[in-house]
Amino acid sequence: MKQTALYSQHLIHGGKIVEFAGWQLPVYYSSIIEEHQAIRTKAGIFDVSHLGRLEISGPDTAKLVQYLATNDIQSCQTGDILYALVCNDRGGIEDDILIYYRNPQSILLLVNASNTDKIKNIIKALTSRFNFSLDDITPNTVMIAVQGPKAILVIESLFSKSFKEMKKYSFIEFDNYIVSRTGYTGEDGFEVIVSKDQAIELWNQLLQHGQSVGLIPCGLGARDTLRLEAGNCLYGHEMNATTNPFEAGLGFAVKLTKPDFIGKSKLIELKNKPLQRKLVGIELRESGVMRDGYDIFANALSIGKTTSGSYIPSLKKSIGMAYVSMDYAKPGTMVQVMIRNKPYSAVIVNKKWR
Amino acid sequence: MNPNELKYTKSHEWIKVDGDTGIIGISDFAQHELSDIVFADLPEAGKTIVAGDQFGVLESVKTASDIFSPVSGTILESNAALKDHPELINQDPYTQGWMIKIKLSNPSELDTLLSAQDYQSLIS
Repeated sequence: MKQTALYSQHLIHGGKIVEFAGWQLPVYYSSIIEEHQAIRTKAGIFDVSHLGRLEISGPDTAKLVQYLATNDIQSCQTGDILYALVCNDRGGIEDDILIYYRNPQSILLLVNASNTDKIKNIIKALTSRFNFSLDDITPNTVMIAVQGPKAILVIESLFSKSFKEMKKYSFIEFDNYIVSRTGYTGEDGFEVIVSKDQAIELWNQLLQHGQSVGLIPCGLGARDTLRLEAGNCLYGHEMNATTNPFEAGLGFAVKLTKPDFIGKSKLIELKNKPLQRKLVGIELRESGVMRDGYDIFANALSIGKTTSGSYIPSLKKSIGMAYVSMDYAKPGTMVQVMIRNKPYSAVIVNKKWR
Repeated sequence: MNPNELKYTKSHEWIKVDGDTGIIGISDFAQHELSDIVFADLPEAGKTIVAGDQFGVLESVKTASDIFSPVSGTILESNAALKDHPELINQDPYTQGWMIKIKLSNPSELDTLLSAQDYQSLIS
């Protein structure tokens, strides 16, 4: 089991450690509810060092990334971050990634922890086609997400400079730091990458500079409820190697007019076919909690399955995401979710709760 | 911190016995492990259960956990206050956070349960 360079800090703060994608990480320190609310109203920090950080360099870097990913980096400029998918030749999703564009010879890819090895293998298989080198900097660096409406104050205080002009989905590099205006929580926020040797110092500085705004360390539990409430997909739940980008609502990240990329011909075919099912939001209309993998019925027909679910205390209800047949995908459609063999009344909604 | 007058199970439930009725809940250790309980799925009165049976489910923000009965008997009542305030289990696991009241059908089963001291050594 892998530990991040911040593992000792998680123990110091009383983190309840669980295994996630081969890493030992805190699921919460104080309580998931408290940490969720801190991000929505103040600020919090997450250790997201488990995310894979892959540096591509060399003459064919841009060409390689264009071939690997579904989005188009053609118009990217230094400091832009682009959301993209890596698909297989059946049009299924192998990962969702962020592309940090430096220049045509240097690009950083941020990939899911559970997919890091898989993506590395896909990239390595392309060495005969493109001239580049791949450097996995994950083990030598850490990544800390600073999220919440007050996150900007903490970052400005820490680095003694203004970040107000910084655009969402952009990054800057200075003094060994990579600072991006990104996150997964549905709040404003930043993510900072730094070398492993500076990990604990950065963590403690963030806590110190965040003290006056009520910043607290937050775990994977709150990260999951926050992303669910924001309607953000999670690989392994809303996406896997057999889901196609269009049914997942991720067609915006697939540019079918750009030059050849993995899965392109199949994706064109899928795009021209009517969808069989669609990713939707779902809300329980009675007490109970939906989880991943629950069956959904309407008019005694099986119409789909949940992919994520939890209880959001501030909404006082259980919400989730689900794939349902197109006939039942319209917001307002009444359905039943089977929880422990009992039908619970639920309604299809837009998958964004904030 | 685990009240002496209660009996405990290895699966972290407690029972308080008065004559042939028992009140059942989960331990402070268990509520702490589950954290943030948001829903208690409890049985209706009249249902009969056997010692070791799963009688309900506690949903925390993160996960669903089964709860097991320390004894056999008939359910007399579920704690109605938990319907609107499941957080009572976190806040007060031994008093306001009780879950079911049960009429014991085989009180000798109590002898197989753990004392507060035995339970404490189990979780230490």
